[in-house]
Amino acid sequence: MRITRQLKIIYMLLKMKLSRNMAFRFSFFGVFFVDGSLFLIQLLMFSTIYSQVGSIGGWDRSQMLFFIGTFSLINALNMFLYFFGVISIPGKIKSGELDLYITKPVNSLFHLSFESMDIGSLPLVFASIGILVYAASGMHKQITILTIIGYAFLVFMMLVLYYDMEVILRTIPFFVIQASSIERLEGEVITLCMKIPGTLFKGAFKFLFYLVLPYGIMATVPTQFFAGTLTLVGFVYSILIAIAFTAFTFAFWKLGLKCYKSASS
Amino acid sequence: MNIIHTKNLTKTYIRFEKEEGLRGSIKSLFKREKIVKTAVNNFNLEINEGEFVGLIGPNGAGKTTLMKMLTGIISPSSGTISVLGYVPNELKNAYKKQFSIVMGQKSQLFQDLSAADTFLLLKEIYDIPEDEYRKNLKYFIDLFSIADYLNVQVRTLSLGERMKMELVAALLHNPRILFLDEPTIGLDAVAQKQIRGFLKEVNREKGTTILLTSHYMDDIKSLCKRCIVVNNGCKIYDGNLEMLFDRYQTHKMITVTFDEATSYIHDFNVQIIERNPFKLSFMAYRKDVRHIINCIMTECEIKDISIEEEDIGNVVERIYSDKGGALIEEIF
Amino acid sequence: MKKYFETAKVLFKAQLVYRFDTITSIIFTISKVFLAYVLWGAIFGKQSVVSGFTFNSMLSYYIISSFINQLDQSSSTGWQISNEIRNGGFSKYIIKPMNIFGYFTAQTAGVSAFLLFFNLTAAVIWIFIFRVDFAITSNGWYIQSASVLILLGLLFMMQLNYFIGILAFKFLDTGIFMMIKDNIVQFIIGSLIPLALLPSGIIKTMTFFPFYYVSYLPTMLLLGRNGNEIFSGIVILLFWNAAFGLLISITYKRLKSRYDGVGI
Repeated sequence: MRITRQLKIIYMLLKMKLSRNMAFRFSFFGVFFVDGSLFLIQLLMFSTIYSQVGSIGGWDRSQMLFFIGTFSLINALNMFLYFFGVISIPGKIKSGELDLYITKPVNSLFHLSFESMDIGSLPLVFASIGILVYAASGMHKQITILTIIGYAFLVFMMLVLYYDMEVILRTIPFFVIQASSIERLEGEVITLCMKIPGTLFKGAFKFLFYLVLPYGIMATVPTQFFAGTLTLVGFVYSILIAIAFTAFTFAFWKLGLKCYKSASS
Repeated sequence: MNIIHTKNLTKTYIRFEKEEGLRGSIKSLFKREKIVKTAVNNFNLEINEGEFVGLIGPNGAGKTTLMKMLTGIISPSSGTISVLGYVPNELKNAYKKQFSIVMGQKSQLFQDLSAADTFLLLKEIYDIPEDEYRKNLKYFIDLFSIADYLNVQVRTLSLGERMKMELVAALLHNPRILFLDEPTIGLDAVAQKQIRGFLKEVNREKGTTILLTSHYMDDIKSLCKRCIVVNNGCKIYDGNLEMLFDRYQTHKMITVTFDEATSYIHDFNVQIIERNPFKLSFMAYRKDVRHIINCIMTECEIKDISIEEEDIGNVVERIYSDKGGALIEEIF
Repeated sequence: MKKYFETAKVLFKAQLVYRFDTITSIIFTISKVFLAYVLWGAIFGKQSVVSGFTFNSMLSYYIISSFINQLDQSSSTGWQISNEIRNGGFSKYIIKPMNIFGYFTAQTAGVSAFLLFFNLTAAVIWIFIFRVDFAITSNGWYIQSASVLILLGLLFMMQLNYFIGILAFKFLDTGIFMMIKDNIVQFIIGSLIPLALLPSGIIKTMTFFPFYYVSYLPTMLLLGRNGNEIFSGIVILLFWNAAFGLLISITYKRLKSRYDGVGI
C-alpha cells in the first residue's frame, strides 16, 4: 500500500516533469545533447587511457570496457532518476523554498529527489547497456541469468549508495552557510574514484574510497561480480556499506530538518 | 475545542558576524562573533477550532517564525507546541494532512503548467479520494469563479488569479487549520476584497480554523474577531479586535469650516492639524469630543462639521510602540 | 587603453572580496593531478613509456596543463554575458563609452591575473606532494613561444566564449551551448588526456583547429617537445583569432538590432 502510493507519486512527478519539459522543447532536446556530449567525452577519455595497456590492475581490455559501461550506467541512471532533484536541495534550503516540501504529507526528501527526473538521460542508459553488451561479448565467458540478476542487483545497491552520497553532501547546507566548495569537491572525487577501478587503490586511499567516501566500490563491485572475481566478503561488504549509508542518510536528513532555519523571503 | 496550544514557546537564532574582505573571511574561519537573536519569546497561545485569528506586528516581530514553528517547518528552541494533538516538528504525515499553509511570496504551483496539473499532483500527495477531490474542486471553482483559467499556464495568470489558485491548492484536502502568511501582499484592492470574501466563506462553511498574518489592517479588521499583536517576539495583546481598537483608537478627527473668517481660540487639549481663517481641523481625545463640539457650536457660526475615526495607521503605530506585556488581556 | 586597464584592476580587487570560491577551485586542480597519479601509476607499472611519456613527464603534463587551464576564466564570463542579455542587464554595457568585447576581455584578464599567483603556488605544491621530478624545459625559445601561444590561446577562448555568450540575443537558452562547449573543449584542448595518446589521424585533424594550441602545445613545449610546431601554431592561432574577430563583429551588429527591437 505504502509502496504503491510512493510509486504513484513518482509516476505523477515524472508525468508533470515531462509536461514541464514539453513547454520548453529546446531544453528538452538540449539536455540530451549536453548529457550525450559529456558521456561521449568520458567514454573517449577512458577508452583512450585504458587502450594504452593490455591490462590494468589485473583487468583485461573487455573487463575495463565493462567497467566503463558500468559507471556510465550508474551515472546515467542517476541523472535520469534523481540527480537534478538532489542538486536543487542546497538552493531550496538557502531560499527557504523547502518550506513547501516540509509541510506536505510525503517524505520531503523523496519528493525533492524525484521531482526533476530527466528524460534526456534515458538514451544514455541504453547507450551504457550497449557498451556493457559489447564488452561482455568480448569476455568469452558463460553468462547465466543468475549473473545478470546479481549484476543488476548490485548496480541497484550501488545506485542507492551513490544517491546516499549525493544527498549527504547536499544536506550539509542545513548546518553551514557556505557549502559550494563541498559540491565542487564531490564532482572532483567522483571523476577521481568512481572512474578508476577500485582495485588500483592501495593503503590509505583504499580506506578512504572503500569506506569513508565509498565511490571506489560503486562501479568496481558490479564489474567484479560480472567477471566472476568478486569474493563473498566483497559482496557482503558492499551490500552492508549501502545499507549503512542509507540509514545514515535518512538520519542525517532528519537531523538537518531539525536545524532548518527557513530563510524568510 | 482547543486545537493549537503553545507554552513558553521560544525561538532563538544564532548569527555570525564576519568582517569584510578576504582578511575577514580568513579570520572568520577561526573565530566568529556570535549574536543571539530571539525571534519568538516565551509565547503562550491557545486557539479553538473554527476561530479566525489575526496575527499582526511590524516586520521582524516574529509572526512568520511563530507560524513556521506551528507548521513544523522549523523547530522551537524551547517550550512546547501541540497542534491537533501533534508535535509539529515531528513532521508526521498524519499531521501534515490536516493543515495547509499559504505563503504570499512562495508559490506551490508549477509555473509552466496549469493549476489543474498541480491540483492532480496534490490529490496524490494528500491521498484525496476521487469523489471528495471532485466535490471540493467543484465547490472552489464555483466559489472563486475560476473555471476559465483553471487550464491556463500559471505563469500567465495575474497575481490575484494566482493567489486564488494557491488558496484552492491549499484547501483541496479539507485541512482543519489554514495558515496564511501575507496572502494579500501585492494584490490590488478588488482582488484583496475578493480573497477576503472567500476566506470568510471557507471559515464559516467548512469550519476551517484560520490563522492569518497580514500587513493590511483592513484584512484583519474585516476578517478576524480575535487578534494577537506581536512585537519583538512577545505577545503584547491577545483578545477581541474591537476592544483593541477601542483602547488604541483614542482620538477623533474633527474638521470645522466657517462661512466667515474666524479666529476661534480656546485652550482645549487637542492637536491642530490644519488651521486657517475658514477651516480648523484637529485631533481630540474621544472623551473630550462632546464637550469641544458643544463649545464650538455655541460660540461660533459654522458652515459644516465632520467627525471622523482616526487614521488606522496611527492606531497601529500606537499599538506597536506599546512595549511589554502589560496589556495582555485574555478574553477566552 | 587606460580604461581597460582600470577595468582589469577593479576586477582584480573584486576577486579579493568575492572569489573565495575560485581559490578553492584551484586547490581542486589536485584531483586532476591525483587522478593522473593513481591511474597512470597503475599503467606505468607495466611499461615505462607510453606514447613517449614517462610517469614523471606525464604528471608534469597534468600539472602544467591544469595551470594553463586555470588561467582561462573566459567560460564564466561567457555565462555572465548570456545571463545579462537574458535578464536585461546587458544594456549597462551597451551605454558605456567603451568597446564591449574589450571590457569583458579586461574583466577576464583581471580575474586571471589574480588567479595567477594562487595557481603557481598550487602547481608548486602539487610538485612537492606527488614528488614529481618536474620535467620542465630550460630552452628559452620554447618558453617564450609557449607564452605567446598561451596569450593567443586565451584571446581565442575569450572570443569563443564571447561569441557563444552574445548568441543569447537570438536564442533563449544558450546555457545548453555553453555546457556542450565546456564538455567538448575540456577534451579537445587536452586537459583530460594528452592529445598525443589519440590516433595519429585524429591528431593531424586537430592541428588545423585552434584548440590544439590553447593548452596542449604550450604544455608540450614547456616539457621540451613539439618544437617543430611553434611556427604553424602561431600562424593558425592568429588566423582563428582573426576569423573569430570578424565573426563576432558581424554577429554582434546583426543581433544587437534584435535586442533593441525587443527593447528589454
